[in-house]
Amino acid sequence: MSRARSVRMADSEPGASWDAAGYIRHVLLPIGAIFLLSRAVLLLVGVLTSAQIAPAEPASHTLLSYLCRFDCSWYLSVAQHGYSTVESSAQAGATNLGFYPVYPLLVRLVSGLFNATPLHAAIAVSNVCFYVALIYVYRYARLLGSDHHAALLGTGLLCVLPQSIVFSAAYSESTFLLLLAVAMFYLRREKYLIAGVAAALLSATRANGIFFIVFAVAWLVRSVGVRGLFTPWRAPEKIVAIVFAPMGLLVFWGYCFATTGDAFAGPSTMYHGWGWYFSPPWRELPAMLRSDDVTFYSGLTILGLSACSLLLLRQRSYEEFAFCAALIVLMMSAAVTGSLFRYALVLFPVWIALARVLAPRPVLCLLAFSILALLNAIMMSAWTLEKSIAI
Amino acid sequence: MDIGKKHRDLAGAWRRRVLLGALALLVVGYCAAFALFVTQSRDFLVARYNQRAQDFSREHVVSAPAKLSFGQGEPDNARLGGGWHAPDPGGAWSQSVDAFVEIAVLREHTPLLLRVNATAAVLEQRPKMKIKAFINGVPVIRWVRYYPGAAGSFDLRVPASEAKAGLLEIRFRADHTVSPFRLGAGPDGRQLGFLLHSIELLDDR
Repeated sequence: MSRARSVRMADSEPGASWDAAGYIRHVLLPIGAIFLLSRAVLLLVGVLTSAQIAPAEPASHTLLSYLCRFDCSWYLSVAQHGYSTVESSAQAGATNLGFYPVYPLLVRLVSGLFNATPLHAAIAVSNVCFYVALIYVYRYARLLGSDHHAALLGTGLLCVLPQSIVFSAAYSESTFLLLLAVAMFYLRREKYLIAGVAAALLSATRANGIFFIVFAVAWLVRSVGVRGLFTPWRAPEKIVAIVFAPMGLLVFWGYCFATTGDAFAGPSTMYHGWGWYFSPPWRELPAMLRSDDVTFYSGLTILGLSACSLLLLRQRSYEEFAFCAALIVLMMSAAVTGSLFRYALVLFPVWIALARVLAPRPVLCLLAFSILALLNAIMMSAWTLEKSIAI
Repeated sequence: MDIGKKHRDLAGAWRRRVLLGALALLVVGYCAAFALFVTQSRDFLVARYNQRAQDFSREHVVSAPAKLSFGQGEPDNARLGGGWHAPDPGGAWSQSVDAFVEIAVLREHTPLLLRVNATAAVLEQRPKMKIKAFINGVPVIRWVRYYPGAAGSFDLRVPASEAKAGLLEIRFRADHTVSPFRLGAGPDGRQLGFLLHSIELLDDR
């Protein structure tokens, strides 16, 4: 077999030595099948919900309309008309400056290139990003030492986790997941420039992408020691990703400053329009658990996520744990808790760790998948009906 | 020693230095940009709400004696700038540490006294609140309330120079805001500073 035909996955994924056809058969096709099947089932749940629970709704729902709920219109407004300081008539203080630019820019690009409507382009971007992200999640799992089945299981988990519909909807989660997986993967592979560029784009996709720095610093400390962290002149290439990571966020802040006089227009509009503000986690988490509405479930989600993230420690994935712990603390500090389910989805190292635990236990695995799939279906119904739990 | 290896080492060292220099420049650029953003940014929505309140106030000039009432359905709510929740019955709660009220007064009204009637969000769990008031940026009073004496009034003596300016921008700065729900003191999950009931304009002569 020629070198050109062989896929250069073998050196990155321990134990895998497939050729191109084998890689397609064993990795790309199964991931594609999981991806397509999960999306089809979710859309079916959406259609059934719409038909059975809300039959009074207009019957003009196209299949794609199920992929546009809640924040979808904000992203489309950025993609179509650019940023604006005009407030929503239904929500004082809410403007599209609360939505970071990478995803809407991609939508605009695809829409222009293929002459597609913004909604079609948005859904195409989300789904392509999600599929590629799943491949990178698989590769990352292999890099962490998962076997083939556990790595596939990890991608399967991402597809069945509650509210995973946002990965296919006109939302930025799939772009975020892709950039995060790419940045982490290439940093571990010591391809610093690719990791840095992905990290810079990540912080311009969602502000919490800046927390990639936590991962990168933890990785640096583990690979060169604490002394190495304070002597960057010895191997400056190792800090490229750390230095690049804030670039996207700062560029967006600069744009906001130039156009509105408020570099922090994003946080400003999130505060006035959505009531987002920082609240200490030790105050916020008990408040969530005391609540008798959706917030209570957000609190439970955070507790469950925290417990699952401990698996990363057990598997000695300390860098991934540091990153996930930082984002979990951030989630606990958000005084508005409606969207925590989807914020939890992108913490893929946690799901890889969970998959590694489940893979050798088929009964437990089946049970976990059944429960998650059921919860996902319930969340899909809530999403279809635009219930606040699915925001 | 192998000359080729020596050259490679030298080139490698230079590459490292250039890269380090470029990264250091980037970090310096970040710090400078961040400092600029922090020092020069103004919340664009607060600026807009203040402007809106100023426009209304300029069209509805008041002269002492007068009483401006705030709360659900009150016409004077339009004088509230940034930093307020939608008015409740009986008053408007401040939402953030800084809350603004814009009042246009007749220029000949000097000296002027503003009597502010308010209730601070002091709770058993957080029993003290300090509120500073500024008129057109000039500090005029510091008001402190302790639980359970939340309600009260305080007087703002308007400096003659500011009264002559015609437009008074009153900025209330609370030392903190609280969420009763998060402190386990009730169902209200909003961040609250103080409840502004009314402002009386009195002639201070």
